[in-house]
Amino acid sequence: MKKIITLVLAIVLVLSCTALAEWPEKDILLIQPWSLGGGPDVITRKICEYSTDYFGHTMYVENHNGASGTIGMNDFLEAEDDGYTIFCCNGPLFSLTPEFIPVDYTIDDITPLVGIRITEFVILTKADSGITNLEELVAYANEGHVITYATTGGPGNDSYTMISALFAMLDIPCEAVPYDGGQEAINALVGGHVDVAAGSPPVYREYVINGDLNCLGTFIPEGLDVEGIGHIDSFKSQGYDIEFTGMDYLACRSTVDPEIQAKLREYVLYVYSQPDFQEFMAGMGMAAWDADAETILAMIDAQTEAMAAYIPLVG
Amino acid sequence: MKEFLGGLQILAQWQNFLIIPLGLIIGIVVGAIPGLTSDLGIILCIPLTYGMDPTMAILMLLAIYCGGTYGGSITAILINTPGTSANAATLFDGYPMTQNGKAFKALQMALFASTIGGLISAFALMFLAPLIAKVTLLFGPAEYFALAVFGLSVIAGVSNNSIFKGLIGACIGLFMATVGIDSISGTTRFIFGQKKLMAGIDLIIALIGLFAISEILMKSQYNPKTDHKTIKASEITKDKITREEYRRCRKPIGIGSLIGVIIGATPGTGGGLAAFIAYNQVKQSSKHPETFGKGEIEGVAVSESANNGACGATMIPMLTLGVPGDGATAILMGAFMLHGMIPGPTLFAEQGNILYAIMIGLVVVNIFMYLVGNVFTRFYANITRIPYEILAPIVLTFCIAGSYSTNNRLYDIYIILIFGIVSYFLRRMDFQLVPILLGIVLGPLAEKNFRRAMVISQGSPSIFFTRPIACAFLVIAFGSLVVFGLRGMKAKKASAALKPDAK
Repeated sequence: MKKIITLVLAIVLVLSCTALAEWPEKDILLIQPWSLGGGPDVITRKICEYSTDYFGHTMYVENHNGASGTIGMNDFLEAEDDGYTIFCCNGPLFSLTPEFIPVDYTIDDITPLVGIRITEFVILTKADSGITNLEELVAYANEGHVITYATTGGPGNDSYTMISALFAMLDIPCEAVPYDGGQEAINALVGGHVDVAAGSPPVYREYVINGDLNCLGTFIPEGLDVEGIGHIDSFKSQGYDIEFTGMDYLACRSTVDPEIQAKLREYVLYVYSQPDFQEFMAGMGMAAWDADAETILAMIDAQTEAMAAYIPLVG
Repeated sequence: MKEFLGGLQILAQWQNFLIIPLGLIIGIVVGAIPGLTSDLGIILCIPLTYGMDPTMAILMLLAIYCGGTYGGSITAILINTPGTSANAATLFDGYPMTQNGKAFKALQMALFASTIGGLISAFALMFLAPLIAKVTLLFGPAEYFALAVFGLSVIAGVSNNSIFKGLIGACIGLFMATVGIDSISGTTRFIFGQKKLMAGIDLIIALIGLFAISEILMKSQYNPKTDHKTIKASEITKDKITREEYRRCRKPIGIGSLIGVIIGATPGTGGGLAAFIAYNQVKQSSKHPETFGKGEIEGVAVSESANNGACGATMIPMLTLGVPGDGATAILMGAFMLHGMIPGPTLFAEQGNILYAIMIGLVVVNIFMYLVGNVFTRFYANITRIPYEILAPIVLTFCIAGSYSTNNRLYDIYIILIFGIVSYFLRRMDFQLVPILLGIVLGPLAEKNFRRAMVISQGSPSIFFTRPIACAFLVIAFGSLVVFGLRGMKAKKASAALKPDAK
């Protein structure tokens, strides 16, 4: 009997190993919870470009956007945990969104595969306002002005939370004007419709270089070096205890076979090593972020902790 | 000039002249199938462009975009269902022309007007883009709100004789637009515990339900044995557009193209709004407004020139400011990025040659669109010969496939069915569907920007009257309502005066 059981187990093991060795046997779906044409959408589509040559099967993007990414997340978690469905995730889906929208998922439902990019928010003013730093902004507000600031989304959005928390710390009269995306927010500032806006590269870069906008600082704790602009000081270095590092990464369900997870990760790292992909990312004004699961999870933990302090400030 | 010539040189490769007709055919086909839009056509074809050089790739996608916007008019004219939201205004006169046996003429005019609108738009993109972009930046929340109000004032003109029902329809549309997460406050509205509704209702889903499904339901009492003969009896005339009709349509096409360019260049609006506003303006200024909505060829001309007039113009804010003019340009923006071109202020300086090749290519796209469309028009017209018992299941299948493909969700199919059933009853009660569509299209634009404007002005409505552009839109909207009101009163007086005579 023991021999039979051993034999059966051996066959199952061999078959499963063979099955994994052949993975993938069909196309892989990448669920994108953000809208078409945006930064994460464009980068994930570029990542998918190399899949047919690498796997012999296509990796393709479907946009399941809406409800701050939770629609896509729910669709992703409803799919089979066979590795054929992966997800473009970000930090606030766990650190921020659950504070505003009832969600059915936790961080334990997913395993990060590899990072995609870091999002670096910068706070900007119009150059002709003459405001070049936070002290001048506070002085301007204290003259009786209510500061209007454009954010890339409403409550539950990362830029909204961070800039609102910063202004709460500054204790200045202000009103948020939520826009749909970074470029809209920057254009509202350039058009003179608001006093301040949050932006991330590459949307503000040329305006700053051309002298149309001023950078007041960044939430990245180490500060930021931007080509053509130079070093942008962090708010932390300016004496304000606030920091935020946005991130996008690829994830699969936590119950997916570790070998499949490894194959997916290897594929993305292969894409990152390709010179034309690196050139593409440089054109977007950023570099691919090849962080592993551990790093990403640690950052989400830190972000969740920080948000717990910022959200009460926003109110 | 150097960049213009450089662009011409890049464009003058034989591959470009092969890819443009291919893109156009794809665009016309997806545009003509209810539920499939040029947006979807572009998304599906983006992977095909990976191996192409940027000019060729973008030209193919632009051809799909322009072809799709024109293609949507085919179903609007033939089966009373716009292929895309941009073609909804074409319904007013396109379908009545088909019912009068003038489908061929309507299709020809749609093609001609689309081509002229597209060409004017392409030239505007080529020569006026930086200037228009500067004006676009002046558009803040107050201006957008006023523009949306101006768009909503169109309801008065498209509600036939029942402005009250038109307003109720618009309110239903505005209500539909509020479903989902409110992006300003972050709260959910009217989702009734359905998490899938948090994303709101997609415009294309609403469009399919409102028009296609309700149209099929309206024909539910159709009897193939008796009614088929009735349809066959109205033979399709193959009459070409007369010189007099071309002459009559010159002004509507001019107005449509101009409004198409202006509205198209304003981010977040698009060809649908342009077509409604242009249609309303032409109807208002016409010497025979009573013929509009009953198969007036000028109505088809103005609607189609406006929506295609917006095509090139939607590229202006996208290329110069990095803000897409509508949904399709948002996807095109992604395609630009995939091919290493980051839309925004520096694109003209960094990739001037390629950009000029694309802009000149847009002119070529429109010329090819006329040639390709002309070949196929005679075939489309024959769709009206297909017995309805065969056509209806085909349309229904495409509608279901199209609505599923929008978000890859089965849930959307339930939504189109609910929309279809509700619209069916509304139509039975003589409600117009276009005000509902206008409410859905303009609701978010109006609401978001009203709230943004009120935040900026710290609660003072004076912002709408102290900013010249916003004030001008509101004055025109008010003027438009007054004109329609006076006309309505005049028509009532005239009919009252006629009644005693009749006795």
